[in-house]
Amino acid sequence: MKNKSIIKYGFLLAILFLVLFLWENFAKDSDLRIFISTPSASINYFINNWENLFNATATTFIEAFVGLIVATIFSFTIIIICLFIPKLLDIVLPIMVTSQIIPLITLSPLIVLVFDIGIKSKIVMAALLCFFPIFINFANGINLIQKSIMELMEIYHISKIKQIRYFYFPLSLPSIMSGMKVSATFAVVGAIMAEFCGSKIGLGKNLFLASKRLNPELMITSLVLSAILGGLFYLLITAIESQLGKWYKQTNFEK
Amino acid sequence: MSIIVHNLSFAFNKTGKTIFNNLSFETSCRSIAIVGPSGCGKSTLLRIICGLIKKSSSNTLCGNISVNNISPSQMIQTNSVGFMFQEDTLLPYLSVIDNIKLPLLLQKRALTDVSQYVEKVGLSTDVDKYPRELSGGMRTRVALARTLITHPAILLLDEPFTGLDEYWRNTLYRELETLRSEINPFTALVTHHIEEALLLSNFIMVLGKNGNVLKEFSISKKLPRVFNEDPMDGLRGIQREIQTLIIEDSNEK
Repeated sequence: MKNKSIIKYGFLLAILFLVLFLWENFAKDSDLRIFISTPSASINYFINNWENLFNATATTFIEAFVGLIVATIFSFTIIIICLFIPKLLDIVLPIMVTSQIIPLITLSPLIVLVFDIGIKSKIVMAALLCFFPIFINFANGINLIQKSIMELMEIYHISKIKQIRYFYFPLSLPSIMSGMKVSATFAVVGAIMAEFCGSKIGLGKNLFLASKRLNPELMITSLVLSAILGGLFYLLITAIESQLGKWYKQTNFEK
Repeated sequence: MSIIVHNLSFAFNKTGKTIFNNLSFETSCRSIAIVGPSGCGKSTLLRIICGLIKKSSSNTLCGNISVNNISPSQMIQTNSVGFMFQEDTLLPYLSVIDNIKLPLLLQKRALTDVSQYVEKVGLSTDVDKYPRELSGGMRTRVALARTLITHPAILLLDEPFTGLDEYWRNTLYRELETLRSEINPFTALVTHHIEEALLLSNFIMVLGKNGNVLKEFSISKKLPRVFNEDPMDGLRGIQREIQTLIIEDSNEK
Protein backbone atom coordinates (compact mmCIF):
# COMPACT_ATOMS: atom_id res chain seq x y z
CA MET A 1 0.00 0.00 0.00
CA LYS A 2 2.80 2.38 1.02
CA ASN A 3 4.81 1.46 -2.08
CA LYS A 4 1.78 2.15 -4.26
CA SER A 5 1.47 5.66 -2.81
CA ILE A 6 5.17 6.36 -3.31
CA ILE A 7 4.90 5.26 -6.96
CA LYS A 8 1.73 7.35 -7.46
CA TYR A 9 3.13 10.55 -5.95
CA GLY A 10 6.54 9.97 -7.52
CA PHE A 11 4.87 9.69 -10.91
CA LEU A 12 2.89 12.91 -10.38
CA LEU A 13 6.04 14.77 -9.26
CA ALA A 14 7.91 13.50 -12.30
CA ILE A 15 5.15 14.81 -14.62
CA LEU A 16 5.21 18.17 -12.81
CA PHE A 17 8.97 18.52 -13.23
CA LEU A 18 8.72 17.48 -16.86
CA VAL A 19 6.07 20.15 -17.54
CA LEU A 20 8.14 22.80 -15.71
CA PHE A 21 11.27 21.77 -17.64
CA LEU A 22 9.52 21.93 -21.02
CA TRP A 23 7.83 25.20 -20.10
CA GLU A 24 11.13 26.77 -19.00
CA ASN A 25 12.95 25.75 -22.16
CA PHE A 26 10.25 26.45 -24.74
CA ALA A 27 9.08 29.76 -23.24
CA LYS A 28 12.57 31.18 -22.61
CA ASP A 29 13.54 31.62 -26.25
CA SER A 30 10.17 32.36 -27.84
CA ASP A 31 7.40 34.96 -27.98
CA LEU A 32 5.46 32.80 -25.57
CA ARG A 33 7.52 34.44 -22.82
CA ILE A 34 5.34 37.58 -23.17
CA PHE A 35 2.21 35.63 -22.23
CA ILE A 36 3.18 32.84 -19.89
CA SER A 37 6.56 33.90 -18.52
CA THR A 38 8.85 31.08 -17.37
CA PRO A 39 8.88 29.16 -14.09
CA SER A 40 12.25 30.67 -13.07
CA ALA A 41 11.14 34.25 -13.87
CA SER A 42 7.91 33.71 -11.94
CA ILE A 43 9.79 32.34 -8.94
CA ASN A 44 12.14 35.33 -9.04
CA TYR A 45 9.16 37.65 -9.22
CA PHE A 46 7.61 35.90 -6.23
CA ILE A 47 10.84 36.23 -4.19
CA ASN A 48 11.14 39.94 -4.96
CA ASN A 49 7.47 40.79 -4.40
CA TRP A 50 6.43 38.22 -1.82
CA GLU A 51 5.15 40.80 0.65
CA ASN A 52 2.69 42.36 -1.83
CA LEU A 53 1.64 38.96 -3.11
CA PHE A 54 1.16 37.67 0.42
CA ASN A 55 -1.03 40.67 1.33
CA ALA A 56 -3.13 40.16 -1.81
CA THR A 57 -3.55 36.44 -1.05
CA ALA A 58 -4.41 37.11 2.60
CA THR A 59 -7.05 39.67 1.56
CA THR A 60 -8.66 37.25 -0.91
CA PHE A 61 -8.50 34.50 1.71
CA ILE A 62 -10.31 36.64 4.29
CA GLU A 63 -12.98 37.70 1.76
CA ALA A 64 -13.59 34.14 0.60
CA PHE A 65 -13.53 32.71 4.14
CA VAL A 66 -15.97 35.26 5.55
CA GLY A 67 -18.15 34.78 2.45
CA LEU A 68 -18.23 31.03 3.04
CA ILE A 69 -19.14 31.53 6.72
CA VAL A 70 -21.88 34.04 5.84
CA ALA A 71 -23.32 31.67 3.19
CA THR A 72 -23.25 28.77 5.66
CA ILE A 73 -25.04 30.79 8.34
CA PHE A 74 -27.66 32.02 5.86
CA SER A 75 -28.38 28.63 4.31
CA PHE A 76 -28.59 26.94 7.75
CA THR A 77 -30.92 29.67 9.02
CA ILE A 78 -33.28 29.35 6.05
CA ILE A 79 -33.34 25.55 6.30
CA ILE A 80 -34.02 25.70 10.05
CA ILE A 81 -36.87 28.16 9.49
CA CYS A 82 -38.23 25.80 6.81
CA LEU A 83 -38.06 22.90 9.27
CA PHE A 84 -40.21 24.88 11.68
CA ILE A 85 -42.61 25.82 8.87
CA PRO A 86 -42.42 22.80 6.51
CA LYS A 87 -44.66 24.34 3.83
CA LEU A 88 -42.19 27.20 3.45
CA LEU A 89 -39.62 24.87 1.86
CA ASP A 90 -42.07 24.14 -0.98
CA ILE A 91 -42.12 27.88 -1.69
CA VAL A 92 -38.44 28.63 -1.06
CA LEU A 93 -36.96 25.70 -3.00
CA PRO A 94 -38.38 26.57 -6.46
CA ILE A 95 -37.37 30.22 -5.94
CA MET A 96 -33.82 29.19 -5.06
CA VAL A 97 -33.56 26.84 -8.03
CA THR A 98 -34.98 29.46 -10.42
CA SER A 99 -32.58 32.07 -9.08
CA GLN A 100 -29.71 29.93 -10.36
CA ILE A 101 -30.74 30.70 -13.95
CA ILE A 102 -28.97 34.06 -13.49
CA PRO A 103 -25.23 33.52 -13.94
CA LEU A 104 -24.24 34.95 -10.56
CA ILE A 105 -20.82 36.03 -11.79
CA THR A 106 -22.49 38.64 -14.02
CA LEU A 107 -23.83 40.27 -10.87
CA SER A 108 -20.36 41.17 -9.60
CA PRO A 109 -20.20 44.67 -11.24
CA LEU A 110 -23.58 45.47 -9.70
CA ILE A 111 -22.51 44.18 -6.31
CA VAL A 112 -19.30 46.24 -6.40
CA LEU A 113 -21.39 49.24 -7.36
CA VAL A 114 -23.83 48.72 -4.49
CA PHE A 115 -21.38 47.68 -1.77
CA ASP A 116 -18.38 49.80 -2.81
CA ILE A 117 -14.95 48.54 -3.81
CA GLY A 118 -14.00 47.58 -0.24
CA ILE A 119 -14.03 44.11 1.31
CA LYS A 120 -17.86 44.08 1.72
CA SER A 121 -18.66 43.59 -1.95
CA LYS A 122 -16.21 40.66 -2.20
CA ILE A 123 -17.73 38.96 0.84
CA VAL A 124 -21.22 39.40 -0.63
CA MET A 125 -20.14 37.96 -3.98
CA ALA A 126 -18.37 34.99 -2.36
CA ALA A 127 -21.39 34.38 -0.12
CA LEU A 128 -23.78 34.55 -3.09
CA LEU A 129 -21.83 31.89 -4.98
CA CYS A 130 -21.45 29.66 -1.89
CA PHE A 131 -25.01 29.86 -0.67
CA PHE A 132 -26.82 27.66 -3.19
CA PRO A 133 -24.66 24.49 -3.04
CA ILE A 134 -24.83 24.42 0.77
CA PHE A 135 -28.56 25.17 0.82
CA ILE A 136 -29.58 22.68 -1.86
CA ASN A 137 -27.42 19.89 -0.44
CA PHE A 138 -28.79 20.45 3.08
CA ALA A 139 -32.36 20.40 1.70
CA ASN A 140 -31.55 17.28 -0.29
CA GLY A 141 -30.05 15.62 2.80
CA ILE A 142 -33.29 16.25 4.68
CA ASN A 143 -35.36 14.87 1.81
CA LEU A 144 -33.27 11.70 1.83
CA ILE A 145 -34.06 10.87 5.46
CA GLN A 146 -35.91 7.54 5.62
CA LYS A 147 -39.68 7.80 6.15
CA SER A 148 -39.43 5.42 9.10
CA ILE A 149 -36.90 7.72 10.83
CA MET A 150 -39.32 10.62 10.38
CA GLU A 151 -42.00 8.44 11.99
CA LEU A 152 -39.60 7.55 14.79
CA MET A 153 -39.19 11.26 15.53
CA GLU A 154 -42.97 11.55 15.76
CA ILE A 155 -43.18 8.55 18.07
CA TYR A 156 -40.59 10.12 20.41
CA HIS A 157 -42.76 13.24 20.54
CA ILE A 158 -39.83 15.65 20.86
CA SER A 159 -39.41 19.36 20.22
CA LYS A 160 -38.34 20.67 16.82
CA ILE A 161 -35.00 21.78 18.28
CA LYS A 162 -34.28 18.23 19.44
CA GLN A 163 -35.39 16.88 16.05
CA ILE A 164 -32.90 19.18 14.34
CA ARG A 165 -30.09 18.44 16.78
CA TYR A 166 -30.46 14.66 16.95
CA PHE A 167 -31.95 13.80 13.55
CA TYR A 168 -32.10 16.38 10.76
CA PHE A 169 -28.65 17.88 11.17
CA PRO A 170 -26.51 14.77 11.73
CA LEU A 171 -28.43 12.74 9.13
CA SER A 172 -27.90 15.49 6.56
CA LEU A 173 -24.25 16.03 7.47
CA PRO A 174 -22.78 14.00 4.56
CA SER A 175 -24.89 16.08 2.13
CA ILE A 176 -23.99 19.33 3.89
CA MET A 177 -20.29 18.52 3.64
CA SER A 178 -20.64 17.77 -0.09
CA GLY A 179 -22.19 21.21 -0.52
CA MET A 180 -19.45 22.81 1.58
CA LYS A 181 -16.77 21.22 -0.61
CA VAL A 182 -18.29 22.73 -3.74
CA SER A 183 -18.81 26.07 -2.00
CA ALA A 184 -15.25 26.15 -0.68
CA THR A 185 -13.84 26.57 -4.18
CA PHE A 186 -16.75 28.82 -5.23
CA ALA A 187 -15.85 31.18 -2.37
CA VAL A 188 -12.44 31.88 -3.90
CA VAL A 189 -13.95 32.29 -7.38
CA GLY A 190 -16.55 34.73 -6.00
CA ALA A 191 -14.01 36.88 -4.17
CA ILE A 192 -11.67 37.01 -7.19
CA MET A 193 -14.53 37.85 -9.57
CA ALA A 194 -15.60 40.77 -7.38
CA GLU A 195 -11.97 41.94 -7.19
CA PHE A 196 -11.84 41.95 -11.01
CA CYS A 197 -14.61 44.55 -11.01
CA GLY A 198 -12.86 46.90 -8.66
CA SER A 199 -10.72 46.55 -5.57
CA LYS A 200 -7.77 48.06 -3.76
CA ILE A 201 -5.95 44.79 -3.13
CA GLY A 202 -6.40 41.09 -3.87
CA LEU A 203 -5.49 38.29 -6.25
CA GLY A 204 -8.32 39.31 -8.59
CA LYS A 205 -6.92 42.81 -8.81
CA ASN A 206 -3.44 41.37 -9.53
CA LEU A 207 -4.83 39.21 -12.34
CA PHE A 208 -6.70 42.18 -13.78
CA LEU A 209 -3.59 44.40 -13.66
CA ALA A 210 -1.38 41.66 -15.08
CA SER A 211 -3.56 41.33 -18.16
CA LYS A 212 -3.83 45.10 -18.63
CA ARG A 213 -0.13 45.79 -18.13
CA LEU A 214 1.03 42.60 -19.83
CA ASN A 215 2.93 41.41 -16.75
CA PRO A 216 3.15 37.60 -17.19
CA GLU A 217 5.11 37.05 -13.94
CA LEU A 218 2.39 38.74 -11.88
CA MET A 219 -0.22 36.75 -13.83
CA ILE A 220 1.43 33.37 -13.24
CA THR A 221 2.22 33.95 -9.56
CA SER A 222 -1.35 35.20 -8.92
CA LEU A 223 -2.82 32.24 -10.78
CA VAL A 224 -0.72 29.78 -8.80
CA LEU A 225 -1.64 31.51 -5.53
CA SER A 226 -5.35 31.42 -6.48
CA ALA A 227 -5.07 27.69 -7.15
CA ILE A 228 -3.30 27.17 -3.82
CA LEU A 229 -6.03 29.18 -2.08
CA GLY A 230 -8.78 27.06 -3.69
CA GLY A 231 -6.94 23.91 -2.65
CA LEU A 232 -6.51 25.26 0.87
CA PHE A 233 -10.24 25.86 1.22
CA TYR A 234 -10.98 22.35 -0.04
CA LEU A 235 -8.47 20.91 2.43
CA LEU A 236 -10.06 22.92 5.22
CA ILE A 237 -13.42 21.27 4.59
CA THR A 238 -11.75 17.85 4.26
CA ALA A 239 -10.01 18.46 7.61
CA ILE A 240 -13.36 19.27 9.23
CA GLU A 241 -14.80 16.10 7.65
CA SER A 242 -11.99 13.98 9.09
CA GLN A 243 -12.95 15.18 12.58
CA LEU A 244 -16.52 13.92 12.25
CA GLY A 245 -15.60 10.45 13.43
CA LYS A 246 -15.59 6.83 12.40
CA TRP A 247 -19.30 6.69 11.52
CA TYR A 248 -18.88 9.44 8.93
CA LYS A 249 -16.09 7.59 7.14
CA GLN A 250 -18.16 4.39 7.19
CA THR A 251 -21.19 6.20 5.78
CA ASN A 252 -19.28 7.95 3.01
CA PHE A 253 -16.50 5.67 1.97
CA GLU A 254 -17.71 2.12 2.62
CA LYS A 255 -20.77 2.09 0.40
CA MET B 1 -60.71 -4.92 26.28
CA SER B 2 -57.08 -4.49 25.25
CA ILE B 3 -57.89 -3.23 21.79
CA ILE B 4 -61.11 -1.97 20.25
CA VAL B 5 -61.37 -0.99 16.60
CA HIS B 6 -64.89 0.02 15.70
CA ASN B 7 -66.13 0.96 12.20
CA LEU B 8 -62.73 2.07 10.99
CA SER B 9 -62.79 3.54 7.49
CA PHE B 10 -59.74 4.91 5.78
CA ALA B 11 -59.20 6.13 2.21
CA PHE B 12 -56.72 8.26 0.32
CA ASN B 13 -58.46 11.27 -1.19
CA LYS B 14 -56.01 11.76 -4.07
CA THR B 15 -56.21 8.26 -5.51
CA GLY B 16 -59.64 7.50 -4.10
CA LYS B 17 -58.32 4.17 -2.87
CA THR B 18 -60.21 2.75 0.09
CA ILE B 19 -58.00 0.80 2.48
CA PHE B 20 -60.55 -0.02 5.19
CA ASN B 21 -64.32 0.09 5.04
CA ASN B 22 -66.01 -0.27 8.43
CA LEU B 23 -63.34 -2.54 9.87
CA SER B 24 -64.21 -3.72 13.36
CA PHE B 25 -62.55 -6.07 15.80
CA GLU B 26 -61.85 -6.26 19.50
CA THR B 27 -60.04 -8.54 21.87
CA SER B 28 -58.87 -8.68 25.44
CA CYS B 29 -55.73 -10.56 24.40
CA ARG B 30 -52.56 -8.59 25.14
CA SER B 31 -50.63 -9.96 22.23
CA ILE B 32 -52.17 -9.75 18.80
CA ALA B 33 -50.86 -10.36 15.30
CA ILE B 34 -52.12 -9.06 11.99
CA VAL B 35 -51.39 -11.16 8.92
CA GLY B 36 -52.52 -10.92 5.33
CA PRO B 37 -51.34 -10.51 1.75
CA SER B 38 -49.09 -7.64 0.67
CA GLY B 39 -50.88 -4.33 0.31
CA CYS B 40 -53.89 -5.28 2.45
CA GLY B 41 -53.22 -2.43 4.87
CA LYS B 42 -51.52 -4.22 7.80
CA SER B 43 -48.86 -1.55 8.33
CA THR B 44 -51.39 1.24 7.70
CA LEU B 45 -53.61 -0.20 10.43
CA LEU B 46 -50.68 -0.20 12.86
CA ARG B 47 -49.96 3.45 12.05
CA ILE B 48 -53.61 4.42 12.47
CA ILE B 49 -53.74 2.61 15.83
CA CYS B 50 -50.86 4.64 17.26
CA GLY B 51 -51.80 7.95 15.67
CA LEU B 52 -48.95 8.15 13.16
CA ILE B 53 -51.61 8.43 10.46
CA LYS B 54 -54.08 11.13 11.40
CA LYS B 55 -57.10 12.56 9.70
CA SER B 56 -55.89 15.14 7.21
CA SER B 57 -56.78 16.89 3.97
CA SER B 58 -55.20 14.03 2.00
CA ASN B 59 -57.23 11.25 3.58
CA THR B 60 -60.57 10.28 5.04
CA LEU B 61 -60.31 8.61 8.42
CA CYS B 62 -63.16 7.80 10.77
CA GLY B 63 -64.05 5.23 13.42
CA ASN B 64 -63.26 4.54 17.05
CA ILE B 65 -59.98 3.04 18.19
CA SER B 66 -58.56 2.52 21.64
CA VAL B 67 -55.75 0.42 23.04
CA ASN B 68 -55.63 -0.01 26.82
CA ASN B 69 -58.29 2.75 26.88
CA ILE B 70 -55.88 5.17 25.19
CA SER B 71 -56.99 6.83 21.96
CA PRO B 72 -54.56 7.20 19.03
CA SER B 73 -54.31 10.96 19.58
CA GLN B 74 -53.13 10.45 23.17
CA MET B 75 -50.82 7.53 22.49
CA ILE B 76 -47.82 9.47 21.19
CA GLN B 77 -48.39 12.45 23.47
CA THR B 78 -48.21 10.24 26.55
CA ASN B 79 -45.10 8.42 25.27
CA SER B 80 -46.98 5.12 25.57
CA VAL B 81 -45.84 3.65 22.25
CA GLY B 82 -42.80 1.63 21.33
CA PHE B 83 -42.68 1.17 17.55
CA MET B 84 -40.32 -1.18 15.78
CA PHE B 85 -40.13 -0.62 12.04
CA GLN B 86 -39.29 -2.98 9.21
CA GLU B 87 -36.02 -1.06 8.78
CA ASP B 88 -33.95 -0.94 11.95
CA THR B 89 -33.94 2.93 11.93
CA LEU B 90 -30.67 3.02 13.86
CA LEU B 91 -28.89 6.34 13.68
CA PRO B 92 -25.56 5.80 11.90
CA TYR B 93 -23.74 8.47 13.92
CA LEU B 94 -24.54 6.89 17.28
CA SER B 95 -22.81 3.86 18.75
CA VAL B 96 -24.79 0.83 19.92
CA ILE B 97 -25.03 2.15 23.49
CA ASP B 98 -25.99 5.67 22.36
CA ASN B 99 -28.65 4.31 20.02
CA ILE B 100 -30.16 2.28 22.84
CA LYS B 101 -30.25 5.16 25.30
CA LEU B 102 -31.46 7.71 22.74
CA PRO B 103 -35.19 7.57 23.63
CA LEU B 104 -34.36 7.96 27.33
CA LEU B 105 -32.15 10.94 26.56
CA LEU B 106 -34.74 12.56 24.31
CA GLN B 107 -37.56 12.04 26.81
CA LYS B 108 -35.36 13.15 29.73
CA ARG B 109 -35.66 9.85 31.56
CA ALA B 110 -33.12 8.27 33.91
CA LEU B 111 -30.40 6.28 32.14
CA THR B 112 -30.45 3.47 34.67
CA ASP B 113 -31.40 0.33 32.72
CA VAL B 114 -29.12 0.87 29.73
CA SER B 115 -26.33 -1.60 30.53
CA GLN B 116 -28.91 -4.18 31.63
CA TYR B 117 -30.68 -3.94 28.26
CA VAL B 118 -27.41 -4.14 26.37
CA GLU B 119 -26.64 -7.33 28.24
CA LYS B 120 -30.10 -8.79 27.66
CA VAL B 121 -29.75 -8.47 23.91
CA GLY B 122 -26.22 -9.89 24.04
CA LEU B 123 -24.34 -6.83 22.83
CA SER B 124 -22.10 -6.15 25.84
CA THR B 125 -18.94 -6.52 23.78
CA ASP B 126 -20.20 -4.36 20.92
CA VAL B 127 -21.37 -1.23 22.76
CA ASP B 128 -18.88 1.09 21.05
CA LYS B 129 -19.54 -0.21 17.55
CA TYR B 130 -21.51 1.80 15.02
CA PRO B 131 -24.53 0.37 13.14
CA ARG B 132 -22.52 -0.14 9.93
CA GLU B 133 -20.19 -2.47 11.81
CA LEU B 134 -23.05 -4.77 12.85
CA SER B 135 -24.81 -7.62 11.07
CA GLY B 136 -28.53 -7.42 10.25
CA GLY B 137 -29.44 -9.54 13.27
CA MET B 138 -27.35 -7.43 15.63
CA ARG B 139 -28.89 -4.23 14.29
CA THR B 140 -32.37 -5.63 14.94
CA ARG B 141 -31.24 -6.51 18.46
CA VAL B 142 -30.20 -2.89 19.05
CA ALA B 143 -33.52 -1.68 17.66
CA LEU B 144 -35.38 -4.12 19.93
CA ALA B 145 -33.52 -2.91 23.03
CA ARG B 146 -34.07 0.72 22.02
CA THR B 147 -37.81 0.14 21.57
CA LEU B 148 -38.30 -1.62 24.90
CA ILE B 149 -35.98 0.44 27.10
CA THR B 150 -38.71 3.05 27.63
CA HIS B 151 -41.06 0.32 28.97
CA PRO B 152 -43.83 1.17 26.51
CA ALA B 153 -47.40 0.26 27.47
CA ILE B 154 -48.12 -0.40 23.79
CA LEU B 155 -45.61 -2.21 21.61
CA LEU B 156 -46.16 -2.11 17.87
CA LEU B 157 -44.01 -4.30 15.65
CA ASP B 158 -44.14 -3.72 11.91
CA GLU B 159 -42.42 -6.74 10.36
CA PRO B 160 -39.30 -6.13 12.44
CA PHE B 161 -37.70 -9.50 11.68
CA THR B 162 -38.08 -9.39 7.90
CA GLY B 163 -34.89 -10.24 6.05
CA LEU B 164 -33.33 -12.16 8.92
CA ASP B 165 -32.34 -15.80 8.65
CA GLU B 166 -33.87 -18.60 10.73
CA TYR B 167 -31.14 -18.47 13.38
CA TRP B 168 -31.51 -14.73 14.03
CA ARG B 169 -35.30 -14.93 13.95
CA ASN B 170 -35.36 -17.57 16.67
CA THR B 171 -32.77 -15.70 18.74
CA LEU B 172 -34.74 -12.47 18.49
CA TYR B 173 -38.06 -14.18 19.30
CA ARG B 174 -36.51 -15.39 22.55
CA GLU B 175 -35.04 -11.98 23.35
CA LEU B 176 -38.35 -10.29 22.58
CA GLU B 177 -40.20 -12.67 24.87
CA THR B 178 -37.66 -12.20 27.69
CA LEU B 179 -37.94 -8.42 27.50
CA ARG B 180 -41.70 -8.51 27.02
CA SER B 181 -42.25 -10.70 30.07
CA GLU B 182 -40.72 -7.99 32.26
CA ILE B 183 -42.87 -5.09 31.12
CA ASN B 184 -45.93 -6.91 29.76
CA PRO B 185 -46.98 -4.38 27.11
CA PHE B 186 -49.94 -4.72 24.78
CA THR B 187 -48.30 -5.99 21.58
CA ALA B 188 -49.50 -5.77 18.01
CA LEU B 189 -47.33 -7.56 15.46
CA VAL B 190 -47.66 -7.16 11.73
CA THR B 191 -46.01 -9.95 9.78
CA HIS B 192 -46.01 -11.99 6.60
CA HIS B 193 -44.62 -14.91 8.50
CA ILE B 194 -47.55 -16.95 9.81
CA GLU B 195 -45.34 -19.04 12.05
CA GLU B 196 -44.02 -15.85 13.68
CA ALA B 197 -47.58 -14.69 14.36
CA LEU B 198 -48.46 -18.05 15.89
CA LEU B 199 -45.36 -18.10 18.09
CA LEU B 200 -45.64 -14.59 19.47
CA SER B 201 -49.36 -13.86 19.87
CA ASN B 202 -52.60 -15.29 21.18
CA PHE B 203 -54.97 -13.48 18.85
CA ILE B 204 -54.46 -13.48 15.09
CA MET B 205 -56.44 -11.38 12.69
CA VAL B 206 -56.24 -12.32 9.02
CA LEU B 207 -56.84 -9.36 6.75
CA GLY B 208 -58.02 -9.80 3.17
CA LYS B 209 -56.64 -7.89 0.22
CA ASN B 210 -59.58 -5.46 0.43
CA GLY B 211 -58.81 -4.60 4.04
CA ASN B 212 -61.62 -6.78 5.39
CA VAL B 213 -61.26 -9.28 8.24
CA LEU B 214 -61.12 -12.78 6.76
CA LYS B 215 -61.02 -14.56 10.09
CA GLU B 216 -59.93 -14.13 13.69
CA PHE B 217 -58.12 -16.83 15.65
CA SER B 218 -57.74 -17.00 19.40
CA ILE B 219 -54.96 -19.25 20.62
CA SER B 220 -55.35 -20.65 24.09
CA LYS B 221 -51.80 -22.07 24.32
CA LYS B 222 -49.91 -19.98 26.88
CA LEU B 223 -47.26 -17.42 25.95
CA PRO B 224 -44.26 -17.45 25.75
CA ARG B 225 -44.08 -20.43 23.43
CA VAL B 226 -40.69 -19.88 21.88
CA PHE B 227 -38.86 -21.54 24.77
CA ASN B 228 -40.86 -24.80 24.34
CA GLU B 229 -39.20 -27.81 22.81
CA ASP B 230 -41.63 -27.75 19.88
CA PRO B 231 -43.07 -24.22 19.91
CA MET B 232 -45.39 -24.96 16.97
CA ASP B 233 -46.90 -28.00 18.63
CA GLY B 234 -50.68 -27.85 18.25
CA LEU B 235 -50.53 -24.76 16.05
CA ARG B 236 -49.84 -26.31 12.66
CA GLY B 237 -53.53 -26.76 11.86
CA ILE B 238 -54.15 -23.01 12.32
CA GLN B 239 -51.04 -22.26 10.27
CA ARG B 240 -52.39 -24.29 7.35
CA GLU B 241 -55.83 -22.69 7.67
CA ILE B 242 -54.37 -19.16 7.60
CA GLN B 243 -52.21 -20.05 4.61
CA THR B 244 -55.24 -21.37 2.72
CA LEU B 245 -57.29 -18.28 3.61
CA ILE B 246 -54.59 -15.91 2.31
CA ILE B 247 -54.02 -17.90 -0.89
CA GLU B 248 -57.75 -18.11 -1.63
CA ASP B 249 -58.18 -14.38 -0.98
CA SER B 250 -55.20 -13.52 -3.21
CA ASN B 251 -56.56 -15.68 -6.04
CA GLU B 252 -60.02 -14.13 -5.83
CA LYS B 253 -60.69 -11.57 -8.55
